Amino acid sequence: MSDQTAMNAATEAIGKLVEAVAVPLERNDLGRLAQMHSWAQKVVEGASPAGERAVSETAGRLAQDLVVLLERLILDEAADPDAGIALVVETVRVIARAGQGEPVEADDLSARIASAIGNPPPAVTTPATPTVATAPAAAVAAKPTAPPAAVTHAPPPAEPAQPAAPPAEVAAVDAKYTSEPLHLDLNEREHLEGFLEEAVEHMDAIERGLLEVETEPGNTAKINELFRPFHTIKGIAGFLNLRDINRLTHEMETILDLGRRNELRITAGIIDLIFAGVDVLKLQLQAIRQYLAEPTGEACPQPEVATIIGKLRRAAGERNVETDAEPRPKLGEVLVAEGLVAASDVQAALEVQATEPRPPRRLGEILVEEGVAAPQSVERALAQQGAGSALGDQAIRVDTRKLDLLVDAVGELVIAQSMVGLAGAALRDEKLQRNVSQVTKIVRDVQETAMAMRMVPIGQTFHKMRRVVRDVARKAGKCVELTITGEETELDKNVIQQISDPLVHMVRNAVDHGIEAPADRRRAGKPEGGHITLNAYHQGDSIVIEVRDDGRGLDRDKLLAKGIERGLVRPEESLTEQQVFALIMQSGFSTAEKVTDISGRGVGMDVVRRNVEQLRGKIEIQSEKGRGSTFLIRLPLTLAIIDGMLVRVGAERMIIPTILIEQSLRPEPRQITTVQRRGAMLQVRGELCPLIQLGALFGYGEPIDPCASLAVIVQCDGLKIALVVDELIGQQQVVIKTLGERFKGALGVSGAAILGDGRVGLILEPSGLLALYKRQSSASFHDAAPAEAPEPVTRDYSAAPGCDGPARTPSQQEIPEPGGVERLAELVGAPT
Amino acid sequence: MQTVELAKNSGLRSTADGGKYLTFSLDSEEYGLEILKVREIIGIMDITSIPQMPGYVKGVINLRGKVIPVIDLRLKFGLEAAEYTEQTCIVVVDVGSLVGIIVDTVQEVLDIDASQIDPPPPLGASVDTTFIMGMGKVKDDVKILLDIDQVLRSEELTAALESVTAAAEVA
Repeated sequence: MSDQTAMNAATEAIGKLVEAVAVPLERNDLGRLAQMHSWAQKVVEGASPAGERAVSETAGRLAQDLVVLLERLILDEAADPDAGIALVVETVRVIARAGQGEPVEADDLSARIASAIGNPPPAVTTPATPTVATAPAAAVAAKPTAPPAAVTHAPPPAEPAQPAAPPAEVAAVDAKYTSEPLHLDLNEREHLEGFLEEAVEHMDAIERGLLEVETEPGNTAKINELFRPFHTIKGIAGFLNLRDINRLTHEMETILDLGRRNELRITAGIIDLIFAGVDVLKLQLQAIRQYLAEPTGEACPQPEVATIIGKLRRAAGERNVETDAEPRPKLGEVLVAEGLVAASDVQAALEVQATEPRPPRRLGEILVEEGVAAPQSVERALAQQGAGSALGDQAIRVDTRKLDLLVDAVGELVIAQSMVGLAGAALRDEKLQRNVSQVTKIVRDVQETAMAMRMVPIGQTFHKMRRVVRDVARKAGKCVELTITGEETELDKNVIQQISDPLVHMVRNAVDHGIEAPADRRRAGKPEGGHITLNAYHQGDSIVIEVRDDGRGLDRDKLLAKGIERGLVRPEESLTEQQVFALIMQSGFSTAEKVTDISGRGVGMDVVRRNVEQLRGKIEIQSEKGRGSTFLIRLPLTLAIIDGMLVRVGAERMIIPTILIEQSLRPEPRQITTVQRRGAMLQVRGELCPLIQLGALFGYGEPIDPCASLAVIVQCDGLKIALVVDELIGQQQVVIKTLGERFKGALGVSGAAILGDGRVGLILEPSGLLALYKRQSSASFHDAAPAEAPEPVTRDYSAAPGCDGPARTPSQQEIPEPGGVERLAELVGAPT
Repeated sequence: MQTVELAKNSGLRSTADGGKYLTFSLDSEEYGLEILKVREIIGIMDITSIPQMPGYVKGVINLRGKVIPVIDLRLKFGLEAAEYTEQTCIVVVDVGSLVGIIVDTVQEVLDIDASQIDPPPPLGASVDTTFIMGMGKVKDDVKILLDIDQVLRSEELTAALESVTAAAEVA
């Protein structure tokens, strides 16, 4: 440690001493006295080199006196303890003045201290030399009756036991770290995997914690919270012989430790450094994960850590003074203030603690064991103190796959139950029906519970965005504030996983393109700092996630111009606002070229849209030029079960997700218009929707007369399309099954569900349907020669649609394709 | 799969291992499936067809809560489609995932010794022999031993789908 550092530490120690005497000092407050003792020693050390301005020689000498005085007081050997306490306070104040370089009269004080102690001052005339630091320890050793532990290291009662000595950062500063080849023991695979999984959570906690510390660098409670995940990772990494990770977390922990002991100011630079460390840590974890997936038998590759460790060590070496942090209230004080425990009991406990062999029990433990305080009171006081709960939370870790299995099984149970119910109703047995309805209730409860188990609050995902906002804003030279609301809103775990990436994208867009540069904002009369709000809430059966910014907003005209240029829109057609905004989510609208000049919202928005649609959700955009934009992601509550409208198409039953349905109606002939006798359109409330013959499109049968059947209007890519179906069977909840890899590319179908009779029904996906429709000939009913609706295809195994040979697909390509422009024009209802 | 590729590369034919085979008939031909690949055998049931699939992909069924694809082996092999009867079975095989294959009748489980298995003879360009592991000679009968993984290789389906999707994207 350099002299400079020692001096800084001394100045800091003086500050702490002053703080310690700011509240009335009791002679029984051994913890505080012990702490002051170690600070006083620091002052002595700081004064030793040559009495520069930081800590004068006088201050050093007085500090030395103070050390001795405190020692006697702690050991209860002072001749006049009460006078001694008063003297401690006075001495500290004088030292503080001396520390500021003011001239002080020290000799008189020294003499009085000597008399309070009751014997000639042993060190008053000794000039401060390097040996003084060890003097008190020697003095203690000389007293055979003294409990040695109480003198040097009685920990402050209100704080969790801390490592006795500060981590060995001094020795480590200059030593360069070299990593060693990492040989993973595959027998420990399970532990390693468990560790990796746990580490992910800790990393989240760390990132969140770091951001909080960044906003409140002086809040030691927050630093303490940060400490825990680091400590856990370090511990397990040590246990698993992951040396790099162990050392890296150790270094970060060291910095935080210095920070929470106010020995190092946690600056933005330090936070950046720790973030960088966290990133390296992530790489390390990733490397292990990859290795475990494909073990090579050789050493596991390890991303480089020496550089960052070196940086961390250097930073830890540069301690400085930081005294403005508020000390944490002591547990005893909190308890007394709350009226939970009498002050005398706390003191008694402190005395017990002071005499205990190392490591002493914590104050709370003593209080509870002595029966003075209820565990709950201590718990509450600890929480208030900010030390966090001593008891673990009531949760267990369960593999999500197991949960998925449970949810699947419950889904089956629901279906089996409804089958039994149907059969039971047919028997007309009253008792059976009563029992069945009882079972139905229980099954519903089980279902709800099973679903609830997979629900997790979105908060964690939202908090990840803080990092995104911070990084992007910093890179773009913008100042952006992120407000998070509705973080307790719960979503299915799987939904949260899948929404995370799109959300990152949208938030990044909002910062990068939505929020203007500070200068532009000033010109527009807005505050320089931009504001982004993330919000989540329930609305009916869906969950809405909102990304709102107060940036420049979408420019309708420019978007439209771009759409025309890209051939997505025809110049003469008029689009609604929603339709124009929806353009940015069209593939090919923006990826080809950077569109930052337009507002740039388009970057990857088509991918976002696709992701959201995969989750059976939809995106709405609201925007006002110059005022900002709001992107609303509307998602179903859960992935596993949807509300669907069961419809009959030919002999097949299909499910249309209710969330997408606008309305269903029986069209009247005057509502239907055809173009070139092919593209049929349905006019609904002034809007023209392409009329899609579902059965014909899927090859389930011939086109049918829409006026004799039904049209279901569904939302699709910001447009509306009308699907012609034979019959609406009813609304029901279905458990979604994937169709698997084999049918991944099947257009217009997103999954399957098992229906009440055990058969499989397909779930429709409108975007794909539209794509399929665009590709296929739009065979309309009027093309078909017979005017009467064809008979519904009777189900017969051999006559199943689609069994008529493999050559169906290629032939469909022969139909000439209308160009994209015409198509869109047609779809949005431009006059042809 | 690996052995087949090896055989292709080296110009040699792979020979199936001896063991238990489930035999079934398709049209007038008799086939064998490694018993280890067979999960279960069920009677023909309602199949939900999936649009835009090649004809031999009949669709999906509900196998006790799992939705699995079903393939008509006759159509897959280019044989004539046949009416499904009481005898028609769906053999559920495990090729990484579960797939049902529709066969005319399931016969029996046979122990076929490696010595009874011949490599497939050259059959001319019109017959795809890549999914034949060998010809099992049991008494006077010949069972065609199938490499079911090769038969159900999903890349083929994926390829079919890709062409569909690609076409859609053009539009």
